[in-house]
This record gives sequence, C-alpha cells and structure tokens, in this order.
Amino acid sequence: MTGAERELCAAVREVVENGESTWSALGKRDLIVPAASPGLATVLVAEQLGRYRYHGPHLEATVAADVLSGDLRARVVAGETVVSVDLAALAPHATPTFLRFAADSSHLLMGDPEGELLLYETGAPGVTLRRYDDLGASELFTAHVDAVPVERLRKEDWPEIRNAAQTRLAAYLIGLAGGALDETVEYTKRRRQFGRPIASFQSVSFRLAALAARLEAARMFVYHAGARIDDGLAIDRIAPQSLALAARLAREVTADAIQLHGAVGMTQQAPVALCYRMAAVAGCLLGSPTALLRTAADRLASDPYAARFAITDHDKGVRTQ
Amino acid sequence: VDFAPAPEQVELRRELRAFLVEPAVQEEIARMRECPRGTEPDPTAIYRRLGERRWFAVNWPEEYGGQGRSLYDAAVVSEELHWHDVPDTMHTVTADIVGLFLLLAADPDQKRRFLLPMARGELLVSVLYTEPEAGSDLSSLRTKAFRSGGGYLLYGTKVFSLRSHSSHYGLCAARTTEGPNPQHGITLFLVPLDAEGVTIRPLWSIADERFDEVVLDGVRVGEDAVVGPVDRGWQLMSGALQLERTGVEQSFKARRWLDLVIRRAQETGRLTDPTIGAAIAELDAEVEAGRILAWSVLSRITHNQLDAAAAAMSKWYSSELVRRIAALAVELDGVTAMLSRWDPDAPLHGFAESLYRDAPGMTISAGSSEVMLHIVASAGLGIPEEVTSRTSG
Repeated sequence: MTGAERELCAAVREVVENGESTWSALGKRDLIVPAASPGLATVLVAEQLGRYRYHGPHLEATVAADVLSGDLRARVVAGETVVSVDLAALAPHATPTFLRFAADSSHLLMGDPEGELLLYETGAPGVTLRRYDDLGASELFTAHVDAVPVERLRKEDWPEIRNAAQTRLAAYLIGLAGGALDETVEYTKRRRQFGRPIASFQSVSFRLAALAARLEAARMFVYHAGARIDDGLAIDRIAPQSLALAARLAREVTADAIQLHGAVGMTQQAPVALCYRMAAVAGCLLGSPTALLRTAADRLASDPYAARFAITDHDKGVRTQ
Repeated sequence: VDFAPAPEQVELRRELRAFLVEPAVQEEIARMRECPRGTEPDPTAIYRRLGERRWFAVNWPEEYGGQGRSLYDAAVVSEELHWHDVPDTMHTVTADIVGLFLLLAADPDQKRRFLLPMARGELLVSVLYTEPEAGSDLSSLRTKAFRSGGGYLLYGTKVFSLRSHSSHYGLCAARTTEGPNPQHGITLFLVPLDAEGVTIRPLWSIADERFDEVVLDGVRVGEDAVVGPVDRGWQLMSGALQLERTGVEQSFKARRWLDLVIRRAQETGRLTDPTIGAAIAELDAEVEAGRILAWSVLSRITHNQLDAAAAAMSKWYSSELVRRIAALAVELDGVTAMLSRWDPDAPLHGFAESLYRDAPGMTISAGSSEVMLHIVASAGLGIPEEVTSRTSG
C-alpha cells in the first residue's frame, strides 16, 4: 500500500472509531467516494467499513455517485443525504425489491422492467415502505411505488456501474471477514484450555492460517479490480468473480470464527456472531455467489483469449500467436 | 502493490514470445513433447539459446552473464518458458535456486568459475538438501563432511533430488560440526557429480520427472568447494529459501493447467454447463488471485520488505489450487481424462493425466503445505512459536 492509501484507511478508521454521526463525518472528509479514485480508494474505504462492522449506505452512495449528477450527487457524496438503491436492479437475476436504509433516504433509485432507472422522492405521495425483518438487522425495505419519478436516467453504462458495485461490496465483505478473523486470532491466543492457549493447537492455528492466506489472496484480487477501474480497464469477468470469492469466504471465515470461539461466539453480543449474520446478508445483496460465477463463466466462454496463457489485458497486448 | 506490469516487462514478454515461436525453437519443443515414454525431454539446447541472449539468468549482474534486471523480469522468463512447454526444472534450480545462493554467499572466485557458465545455460547445478530422514526438518540432516588433506570427504545419502542425473554439480548441505544445536554446524559444498564416490540412482515417481538418489561415499572436494562460511550454512539456506519462495512458480503452473482445463471446456461446450462453468470461473478467480499475491510478494522482496508469512501464504495458496484444478480436469472428461499422452485419443496431449500425477508434488516440494501454514501461523498471526512444534523451511 502507498502512503496515501494507508492515510486513507487511517482516516476511515478514525471516523468510525469516533462513533458519532459517522456517515456525515465520512462525507465531510471526502471518504465516501474519494474524488481522487473511484476505484482503489473507494474499495479501500469499503474494506475498512467492513472491518469495523460499520453498517451504512456506502454501497448505495457509490452507485448513486456513478448514476447521478448535479446537486443530488454532490449531497450524496458529501454524506448529507441518502439515496436508497434497489439492489435487485444490480443483481444478475431478478429478485424482489431490496432497498437498504430507505427510511433514512431522501430518494429511491429503482430499476424498471423497461430497463430504465427511475428516481423517486422517498416522501412522495404514493410511495410506501415496508421494513423486512431479516437475519442481519440490515435496514432492508421493500417499496410499493405508485408515483411519478422525478427523473428517468440513462442506463447505457449500467454494466460498468454494476461491475464497480460488485467490487465495492466484495471489498466490504473482505473487511468484514478480516475483522472477524483478527478477532478470532486474538481470542484463541487468550483462551486457554488443557493448560495452553487454544491457538497453539495446530487444528486451530492451521485453520486460521489457511483462512488468512485465502483472505489475503482474495483481498489482492479485489484491490486489483479496484486498480483496473481507475485505469479504465474492463472488469467484466473479475468483478463478479471478486464478489463471489469474497462472499463465500466471508461466510466461511465468520462461521469458523464462531466455531473457534465456541459457544461464546454464539452469544448475541459477540462481534463474530454479528459478522456471521452480516456476511450472509451482504454476501447475497448483488446476487448469490453461484449466480455471479455463472455470469463469469459466460464471459469466460465468450472470450477467445480465455485459454491462452495468462489472461490480462496487459498480456493480450503482447500475444504473438 | 503496483498491479500493472512495467513497460520493460511487457517488452521482455514480447521478445521472449517472439523467440519461443521461432521455427527452430518450436521444433525443439515439439521434439520434447513427443519424447518416448521412459525418457526425459532435454531442454539444454533451448537453455543455451536463452543463455546467448542473457535470458537464462536475466536478473543476475551483467558481469556474471545476466542483464542486471529485476526479479520480476526473471519471473516473466520462467512463466514464458513454462507456458511454452519448455521444461523449466533445471532452469529454476540452476538460475533461481543455486544461482541466487551463489550470488548471496559465494566468494568472487567461485562466482567467476560458476556463474558465467551457469548463465550461459551450459553448467547445470542441482540441489542436494533432502535426505531419507531429513525432509521438512532439514536441520536434522546426517550427511557428513570430514576435513581431510586440505579439503573435505563427504559421506551421506541425498534423495528426491531433481535432475541431478542431468546436472554437472550439486549444491550439497552437509554437517561439518556436531553439537546440541542442529542448526549450527551445517556447511554448503559444490560437489562435481562426476566425481569418484558419487552414485546417482533413479527413484521413479508418479510424476513425469523422476527423483534421484545421490549417494556420496567418500567424495573428495577441495577447500574451494565450500560456499559461504563453514558451519553457518543453515542461516544462508533459510535466507535463500525465503527469497526463492514467492509462490510465483506455483502460480504460473496453476495458470497454465487451468488454461488447459478452460480450453478443453470450451472445446466441449462445458463452460456454459451450470455446474462445471461456475466451478471453472471460481478457480479462474482464485488462480488470478494467486498470481497477484505471488507478484505482490516479489514486489515486497524487490523493495527489501521480505515478508515470510506473505511468501508462505502465496506458496500454500497456489499449490493447493493445483489439486483442485487436477480434480476438475478429471471431472471434465471422466475416464477419457485419464488417457496418457501416449494414447492417440487423449485430449490435449493427455494434459489431465499428466497434471493428476504432477499435482501431489506441488504441495510437498519447496516447503510442504503444513510447513507453510506453520509459518503463516507463527510469523503472520503471531501465534507463539514455543507452543507449536518447531519446523523449518
């Protein structure tokens, strides 16, 4: 990581740990979608938010920042307002309407069957919300909308927006898993059974080491996708792949985190129990890992270079056969 | 981490690919691909051509036959050789493992004598570390070197050595001093493999490449065969092992094998099969993640930020992927996948059968998965060393 990237992570940590009106504080410090880099920097912010189990409308804000323009966009990025985005419109297969933080939002951004994006005012007559009761206490809403949209938005770059959103959610999940893993490593070093720290048993330490290695590889993969967004390179295949990897890993890491904590990990106040619940919901917000991987497989199938050595655009430029 | 390759690496790749598809080189590669059962392909002609262009040891200083280029560039050469089916074991061992060791530890005279012909691809050197009773626990090695008449006499047995039968010298670890601390008293020697007292026997393995057993029965070497300080070879070996263990080799092998699986799945229309397609897409992501991780380890080494835990993660991660790629290759074609390259009906030169036999070695050689996880747990996660078992590279 460069010095600037480390500073960015430290700034997010500072805001989250301070704990007061985190969302607007993030906005004030240009940490929601850092102007410098919509790719890697935004990915790093998402990861940090996950690491500190911050549950806020970051994913929605990044999508709104990609879709909207003008004053509303500026207010979203500054943390002054929330636009709730119908995440079903971003998933590879149709799902029911899922709007997070809709009750706190000024606007709703919904997909429609014609393939347009429609912007509504949350408080407009004809808009009714119902909060779902879900596993992660995720502030998930469904909306019944019988109103006139305030704006109809173009959707030509929707695939790019979807790819970027997948990458940022992947980063959030990597952070969530990383936090749960750190928590577990520290706990297993403290917790003594049979006269020694349980981390000293190889059945425990090897499990932790393997998860740490897989997490590091997945983290690098997600950073790579973020860096490619900044470089204007395609992430058609690696975006759904990064989210599928991160989502599966987050579920696995958080489940193992509970296992290694023992029954104490299942208590309601246990941070790892919260991670476990959050990972399951967040991991499916933009489609299940299997659905994402099938999208990636289709893209692999239509790539004539797929089976030729390493598959990066940089390499493609120097193919000789 | 810089994710985009530098322009000079792109250029190097371009030049290497142009070279590797030259008709004369392609002819050599085809000849090796078709080598009869029970024989091993001989890549030395290609190695010499690489040496002529200073590509064989591209990262060595110019005075020793390299181009003074980076570790990244050396990794690019290794990747391209492997991806073009040039057997790379002897190149890796000579240039990357022994060469690195000599650059770190050899005296100026040894460097002059050995490095130049090695960089030309003319002098091949194997590694003689592992013994029947000393694998992961290398410091328990029993091969002994006794001082005798201004030199040393070596006695012992080395096993699972690769390509000693095709090499000119072996870099041999032997005990020069007994003591309570097994890590003290080990010395490294450059042993001519045609010397009197050296017997090399094949240990046939399930993989394409055989192992060698190398028996040293009173092999006489001079004082000038000693590499680095006497009795302090262990520190050198550990240091060099850390530099060469990046996971790059495992990651490009995983890439190559998965690419063959993808090609086969494309040919048979299975990429769009819901179960196989998703499994391939997942492994494709993990293989890329492994490559990026490996290159990030290289990047850290280049910036003098050696990170033993990251290196162990990288090696473990990509080598474990190979097992899953092998399993997937079998799934893809069933019994047909098990036809060998000598069967005319085998898909893609019998790659799956060969991969299946090669895969187990990936998680054993260059530091077993168990040793890697131990390093990650201790050096990376800070799980106290004294309560886990003591192991080494």
